[in-house]
Amino acid sequence: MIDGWSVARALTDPASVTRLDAGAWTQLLSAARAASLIGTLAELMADRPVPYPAARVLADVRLSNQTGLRQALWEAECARLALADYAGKVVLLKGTAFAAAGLDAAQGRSIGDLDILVAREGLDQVEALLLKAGWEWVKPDPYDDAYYRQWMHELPPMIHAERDRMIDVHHTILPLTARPKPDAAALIADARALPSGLHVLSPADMICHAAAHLIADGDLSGGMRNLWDIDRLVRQFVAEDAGFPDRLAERAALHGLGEPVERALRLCYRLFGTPAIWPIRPAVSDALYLRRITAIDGWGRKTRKLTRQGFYIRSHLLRMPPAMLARHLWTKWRKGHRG
Amino acid sequence: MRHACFLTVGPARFRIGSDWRAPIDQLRALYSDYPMDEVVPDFTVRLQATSALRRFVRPQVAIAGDFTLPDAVPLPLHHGLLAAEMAMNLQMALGWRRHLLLHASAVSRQGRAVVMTGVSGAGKSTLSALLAERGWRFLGDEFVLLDPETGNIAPFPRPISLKNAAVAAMEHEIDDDSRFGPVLRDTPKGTIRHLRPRTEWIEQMARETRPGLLLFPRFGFPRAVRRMDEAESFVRLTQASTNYVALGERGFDALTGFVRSVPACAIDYATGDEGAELVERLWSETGAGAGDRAAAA
Amino acid sequence: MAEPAFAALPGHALKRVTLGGLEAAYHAPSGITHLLAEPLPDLLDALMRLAPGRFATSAEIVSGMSDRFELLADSPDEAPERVVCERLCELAALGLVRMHGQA
Repeated sequence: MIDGWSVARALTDPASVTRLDAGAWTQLLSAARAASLIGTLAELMADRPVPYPAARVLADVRLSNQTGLRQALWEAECARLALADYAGKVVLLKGTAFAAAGLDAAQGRSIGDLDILVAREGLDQVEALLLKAGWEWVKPDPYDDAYYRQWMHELPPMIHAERDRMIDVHHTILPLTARPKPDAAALIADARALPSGLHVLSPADMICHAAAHLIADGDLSGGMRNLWDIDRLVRQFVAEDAGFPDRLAERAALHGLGEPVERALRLCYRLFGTPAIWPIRPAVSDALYLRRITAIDGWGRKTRKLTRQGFYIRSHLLRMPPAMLARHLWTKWRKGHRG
Repeated sequence: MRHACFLTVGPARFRIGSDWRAPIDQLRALYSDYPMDEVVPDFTVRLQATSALRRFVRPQVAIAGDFTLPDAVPLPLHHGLLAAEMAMNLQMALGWRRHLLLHASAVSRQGRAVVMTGVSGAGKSTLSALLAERGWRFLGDEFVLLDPETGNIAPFPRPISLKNAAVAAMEHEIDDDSRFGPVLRDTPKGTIRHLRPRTEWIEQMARETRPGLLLFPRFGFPRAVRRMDEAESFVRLTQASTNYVALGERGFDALTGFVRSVPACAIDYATGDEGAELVERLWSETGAGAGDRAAAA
Repeated sequence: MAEPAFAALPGHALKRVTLGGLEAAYHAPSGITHLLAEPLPDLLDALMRLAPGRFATSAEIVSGMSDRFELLADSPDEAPERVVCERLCELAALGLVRMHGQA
């Protein structure tokens, strides 16, 4: 039976899948697509013998990878031009950052919206400059707008009128309602400049961000891809800097993200055999996380609905204290009935 | 999934899974002339219940698969065949990368194709169906696949999706009920009935053909022919393509090459017969200036 | 502030095809196709001829074009340099030419 573990095996040991039969390839491709990892699989298999019908699917995926990469880098360039008059650092986040910095994690990674981080005191100017350069609000709803501005870690999403691409402007990496309070000023102060003048997070902060995103800021639905990011980043950063594990420990402590980072490193170790750069102290709940994260079948369906439901409720609770959650749901409910 | 089948249409291979038996049985019947080998597919399509309960109680078919739209509306189970067709179209529109995809119909004669494009309801589908019964080879009524390397058209001869008045028109044209699928009433697009292409066009679906003429038909207007220049054709076709942007430079090469290599005309016609006759005439005058002569006539 | 200066993109970054009276231009870094009308293709040609890889002001570009074109502004008090400069600024905003300095 195919599930997320099969995808993990294919990624960590690409030679093992060259022997699969047509039926297994069919299921593997669907599961990898559902996990948003088919782009990565396609790049890893590029120089290996793959049976023809599967090879042509993977060849198409590689073409899509090229398009996605080009579009993401161009969006970053457009944001750079639009924000030329902003004196502070513009820090690229997530996939666009990996791509712009030429990291291994960018290989075959699907990249969605453009995510950038700027200092909170610079938000007004950044917002004004983006509006002037052709971006506009996606949600005209004043309640959602107020909600974003009051509680979230980002401006309400904006979309470029002509290019039809979204930008998320963050001023920190977790919602303000979440328990851990990452040090946004330190994230920006330690960010590294790229030749273009744009910035990316420091290596240790990149891992902190990915871990925070996985554990505290989502329902784990993109969990495998997120862990794969961390796997690639850890392998590359450790190879480049022997002192990286200690540096990561310092930064994780600074941001109050020691626990999420440790959890993410453990899950990566279990799923992808990522080098154990910190001592592994297994937790009982790891099994539940992995069960949820690998809940994909050979038709590309998300399976294990009950586990997922548990995580969905949990992810909302983590983001918002209960009273606030009630207010949020009530407003939504009221709106639903008005409409 | 509980029920499944594999289908090959032109160069594209599909795997369709379903929570119910009926849509799969209907697909097997409608596609009985097409290859059904269990090969690694290009796309997986899922027809699934909107919830566990909904598999039995007023069942609703949610369209899912490799590529999905977040706001796709589920269909009732008795429109399951339509859901499958829509899901397959969606995979092609969003996921196909081997060819430049044009939302168009096409027929050919003597190895050269007429490509007909226009908004839904402009009559391109019905016109291709009519011509395919009058000696033309049927290449497809929904998508035209342009090979970026060769400039050739790869046939994609799916069953033709006839809508509303076109159903009766084609039933009148073809005296063979076995060529038609079940009548689907009250769909979001009205009444729909599928028409199976002649077996020979399905058997020949791996054989590519050269493009020869580009038409922008409009049904229900007084007869008129207008020559269209390359730039206007180009702009209209970028809007009629679902993967032009995704193909990047290959798409640019394919589309500029296409509009520079074929004459193009906008044609208005009042009846199907008039449309078919106009296509025949423009075709016989084929070559550079065909549109100019037609417009002057 | 310095007078703006312009340079053509490297050849592989912009692919141009004539379509009747217009020109379709594929901009590789963005993947966006632009449709260019007169006089934009001529300006791009002039830029490529005049200073491959080097920056030139609109005045230099105009003098480079004057042996091939008779440059006439729509209104007599509009200097051709200014019109050319405006068009080039528009092209720069789309990423189709490179620009240094701002007027």
